[in-house]
Amino acid sequence: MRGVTIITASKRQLKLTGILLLFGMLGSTQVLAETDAEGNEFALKGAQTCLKCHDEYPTKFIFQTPHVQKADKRTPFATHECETCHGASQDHLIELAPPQIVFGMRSKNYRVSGVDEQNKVCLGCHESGLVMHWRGSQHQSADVPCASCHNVHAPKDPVLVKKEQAEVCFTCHTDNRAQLWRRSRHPIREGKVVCSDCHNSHGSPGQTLLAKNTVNETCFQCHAETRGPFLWEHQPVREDCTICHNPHGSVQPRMLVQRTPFLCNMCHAQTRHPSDFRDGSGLPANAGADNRLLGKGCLNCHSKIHGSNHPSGPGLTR
Amino acid sequence: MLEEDAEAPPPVYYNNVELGLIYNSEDSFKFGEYTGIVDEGFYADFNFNVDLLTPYDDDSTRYMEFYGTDVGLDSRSVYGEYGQQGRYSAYIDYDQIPHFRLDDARTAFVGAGTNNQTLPAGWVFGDDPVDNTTLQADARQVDVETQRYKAGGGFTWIPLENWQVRGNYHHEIKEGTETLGSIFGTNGGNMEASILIVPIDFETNEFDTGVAYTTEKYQLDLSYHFSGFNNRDNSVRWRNPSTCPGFGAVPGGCGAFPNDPGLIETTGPDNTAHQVTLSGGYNLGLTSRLSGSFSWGQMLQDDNFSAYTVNPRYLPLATPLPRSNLDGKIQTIFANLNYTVRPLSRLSVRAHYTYDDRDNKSPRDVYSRVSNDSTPQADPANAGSPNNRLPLPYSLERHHVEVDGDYRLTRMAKLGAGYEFLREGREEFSEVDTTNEHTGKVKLSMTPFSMTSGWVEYAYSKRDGDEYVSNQPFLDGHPPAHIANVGIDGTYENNPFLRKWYMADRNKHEVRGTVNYTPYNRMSLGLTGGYDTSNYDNTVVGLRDTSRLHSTLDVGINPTEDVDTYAFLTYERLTHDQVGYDRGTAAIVPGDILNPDDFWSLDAEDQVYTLGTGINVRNIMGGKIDITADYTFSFADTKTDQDAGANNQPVSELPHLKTKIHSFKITGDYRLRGNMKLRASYLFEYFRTRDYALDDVTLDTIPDVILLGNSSPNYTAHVFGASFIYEF
Repeated sequence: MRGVTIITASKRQLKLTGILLLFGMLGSTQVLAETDAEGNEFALKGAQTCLKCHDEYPTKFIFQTPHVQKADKRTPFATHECETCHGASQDHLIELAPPQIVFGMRSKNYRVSGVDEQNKVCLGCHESGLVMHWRGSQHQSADVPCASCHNVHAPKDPVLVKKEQAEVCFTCHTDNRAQLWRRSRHPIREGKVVCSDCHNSHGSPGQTLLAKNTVNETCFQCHAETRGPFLWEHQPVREDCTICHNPHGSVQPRMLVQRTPFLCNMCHAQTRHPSDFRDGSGLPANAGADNRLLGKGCLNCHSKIHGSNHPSGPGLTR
Repeated sequence: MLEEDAEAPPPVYYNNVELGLIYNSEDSFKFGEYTGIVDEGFYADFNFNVDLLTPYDDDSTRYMEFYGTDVGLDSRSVYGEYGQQGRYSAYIDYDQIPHFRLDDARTAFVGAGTNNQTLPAGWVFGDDPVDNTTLQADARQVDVETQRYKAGGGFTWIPLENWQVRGNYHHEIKEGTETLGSIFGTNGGNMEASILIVPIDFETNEFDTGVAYTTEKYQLDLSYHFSGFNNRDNSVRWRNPSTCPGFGAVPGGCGAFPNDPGLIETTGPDNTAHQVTLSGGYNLGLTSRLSGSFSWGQMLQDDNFSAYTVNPRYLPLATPLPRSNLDGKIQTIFANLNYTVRPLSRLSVRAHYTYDDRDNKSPRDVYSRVSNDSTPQADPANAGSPNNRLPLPYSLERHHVEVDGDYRLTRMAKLGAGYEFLREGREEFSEVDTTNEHTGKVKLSMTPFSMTSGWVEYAYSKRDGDEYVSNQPFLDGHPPAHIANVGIDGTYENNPFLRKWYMADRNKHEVRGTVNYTPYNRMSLGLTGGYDTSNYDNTVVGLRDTSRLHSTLDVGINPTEDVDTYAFLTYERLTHDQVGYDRGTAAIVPGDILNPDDFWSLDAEDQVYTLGTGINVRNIMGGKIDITADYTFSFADTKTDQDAGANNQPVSELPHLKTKIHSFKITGDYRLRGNMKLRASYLFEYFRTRDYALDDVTLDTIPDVILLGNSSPNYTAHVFGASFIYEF
C-alpha cells in the first residue's frame, strides 16, 4: 500500500487529553512557538497535531493533494502546513477556540469566516491564470467563497472531476440541473461536456462568466464548422448563438428556444410562406400536410441555417 | 506518546480499478445518445484511477496520474499526466463523444451517408418527389450518428520563479452521418426537397501556448490560440428524384429534369482562427485591483468555391464565379478593463468596460446564382436579374459599461445597486444601425439569523434603437440594377411592420432571489427562483413578449453521519408570444394599412416539472455495504394557443408537445475485504415524447419534401451492471 499513515484514536476525549498532555510536556521544555504578525501562535507539530482530531473524510486525504508537497515552496505545507491557510491556531488546540480562518458556507462547530477573509487566503497564491478576473466577477460580488465549490482536502476535488463537476454547480444553479433532463441537451449528465468547458466560474472578461470572450467563441470550441466566415451569412448566427439556441437544454429539438417555423417567423414575415398562418389543419391527423410544420420545418429546405459558402446559396439552401 | 496509544488506522486507498459488465435491455439510440449503449446486449464496464505521489515530506515532488472513465464504452476518456510539482508537468489525453441521433430514419437514396447519392434502379419519377410509387419499397433504414475522437497533450514548465510556460495541442476527428435538407427545383414557389443522410468527416487541430509571470502584486499572461477546421467531405452530389413539370418557362417545366445531378455542401467550409491575448491584473492595495485583457484575432476562410451548379444542362455558364474562394476574413478585437475597490470598510465598488468588435472584412462581389440547380443563370446582359446577389458580411461592435457596488448596512444586511450600458453598432447591411440599452438593478442580501440567508435582486432594462429600415438588407444584397427594376416597393422582402427581436426596442424586468434555511446541521432547505419578462411594445409583427418563470425547492437531510438524503422540485415556465401577418402574395410596404383579418397570433408556453430525490447510505453491516439510489422525473408540456383574423378562421389547435422521463438508479457496493468491492447497479429509464412534426409522418406525408420517416423517440430501458473494484 502506498500513501500516508493517518494516526487516529477512537475517542475524541482521549485525543483531546493526549493533545493537552503533549502541549504540557512541550511547555515544560520551554519550546517557543512561532507566531504570525498579530502574535497568534502556530501549533508546534503542524498537520500531525491537526489530524489527531480531524481524521474524517475528506480532511485525512489531504496528503494526496498538491497542497501538501513540502518540497514545492509554493505550497501551504512548505511553511505552516494546515495553518498556512487556517491561520495560526494554537488556541484552537488548547481551548477549542475557532481556528483563525474557518472556510466554507457553514461549519458544524464555528461561525465561518467572512468570505473576503476566506478568499484572501486562496487568492494569495491563486490570482493568476483562470482566476485573474475573480475580483469584480459575478461570483465574487455574490459573496461566493472559494470553499463553497472547492474541497482542497479531497484527493479528487469533485469540481475538478468531469462526472461530478455539474453537481457542485447545481448546488446554486438549480434551474440548470432541471434543464439537463430536457429532450434536447448537451452530454453534461454523462460528463462528456462540463460546465467549465463553457464557463469560467472564477471570472471572465466576457459576459456570464464565459470561458472565452464571447458566446460564439465559446461555441466554436466544439462547433468550428459554424465559425465561417461564410459567403452568405445569417445575421443572428454571426451575432450570438443563444438568439436561437438554449445550450442548457430545451424541450424543442436541437436545443432551440422555439420550434420552427415559429422561431423563424419571429424575424421573417412577408409574402407567401414566411407569413402564412399555420395551425393544426396542417397536420396529418387533420388530413393536412404542411411542409413547414412537419419534418425539419423551415430547415427542410433552408438547411444551411448557420451560413452557406455555396455561390448559389444566398437563400441558405445549398 | 499519543501515536502509540492510537488504534490501528484503517487503510487509506487512493487508487482503484473497476472491471465489470453492463447489460442493456433496449435497442434505442435516444437512450444511449451520448454513451453508445444503444443496442440490447452486454457492454464492458472499465474505469480506473491511479494517483502516484511522492510522500508529502519527500525532497522530490514527482507525481503521476492516470485515469480512465467508461473505457469500455464509445464515450471513453483516458488521461495520463507526469510531472514534478513546481517544476514541470506533461499530459496526454484521449476522449470520445458519440452522438447517436436516429435509428429509425429511412431513405431510398443509394449511397446514403456518402458523398455520391443516386436513385435506385427502377425509380418511377413523379411530378412531386413524393409521388414516386416505389419510394416506400425502395427506402431502407440508415443510422444517423456521429463520433468525436479527440487526442492530444500539453505541458507546463516553470523555468524560473514566478514564470510559467505552457502549451497544448489537440487533434479531433468527427465522423459519421447527419441529416440535411437538400433542394432541387421549385414548384410554384415551393422548393422540391429531400432530406438526405450526408457524411460528416471533420478534422480539427487546436493549439495554444502561453507564458505567464505572476507575483502577489501583479500578474501577466500572454497567450496564442490556433484552431484549424478541415471539412474532409464537404459536399454531396445527388440526383433529382422528381420530374416537376408544369411550372415556369424553362425547359422541363420548373427546370429540374429527372435524375439531373445536383450538389449540396455539408455543414461548413475549411477555416482557421488565430487569437492573441494579453491579460493582466495589478493589486493597487489591499482592497483595490485593476485587471484587464486584450485579444486580437482573425477568422479566415478560403475554401475553394463549388461551381454555381454541377448540372451539365446549364453548362457552360455565361457568368463565371467572381473569385475562386471567398478569401473571407473577420477581425476581432476584444478589450476589457476592470477596477474593483473598497473605499470604505462597508462599501465595495466595481467598474467594468468591455469593447467587443467583430469586423467582417470579407470581400463583396456580385454572384450570379443558379437557383436550385434548376434554373438557368441570369443573362449577363440582365444586370437587374434577381439571381444576381451581393453577400452581406455582417459586423458588430459592442461597448459595455457596468458600475455596481454594495454597502453593508448592518452585519446582517447588504444593499447593492448597479447600472449597465450596452451599445451595439451594426452600421452596414442591417435594419438598425445602433441600439442602446440601459439597465438599473438593486439587490438586497440578508442573513437575519445564523440559520437563514437569502437575497433578492431586481433589474430593469430599456433598449432603444435607431430608425428601423426594413429593406436595408435587400438594398445592400442586390445590385442597383435590380433595385431599379423592382422599384422601392419591391425591396421589402420583410414586412416593414416586423421588428427582428434581437435588435428591436425592448423593456425587460427581472427579479431573482433565493432563501436558504438550515434549522440544524443535518437539514437544509432552499428556495430559489426568478421571473423575467421582455416586452417589445413597438413591434407590430414578430416577437412581442417573452417571459421565464422558474422556481426550485431543495431539501437536504442527513439524519446520521452515514445517511444523506435529498429532494428537489423545479418548475419552469417559458412563454413566447408572437404576431404574424398572413399577406398572401402581395408584398406590404410602409404606409400600407394592415387588414385586421390577416393578423394571426401565437402564444407558446413550455411548462416543465422536474422532481428528484435520492438517498446515500454508507457503512451498512459494519461498513461492508454502501447503497445509493436516485430517482428523477421530468415532464415537459408545450402548449400553443393560436388566434387569427377572419381570413384564417376557424383555427385548428396544434397538439401539445410532451416529454416524460422517469429515471431510477440504485447502486450497491459490497466490501469483500479491505481493498476489494463488488458493485451492483440497476437503472430503469422510461422516456416518452410526442412531437407533431414527427409523429404519424412518413417519407411521403408532405408534398414537395421526401422525409426520413423518423418518429419521436420513446424507450423503456433496464440496465444491469456488475463489477469488481480493486483498491490499492
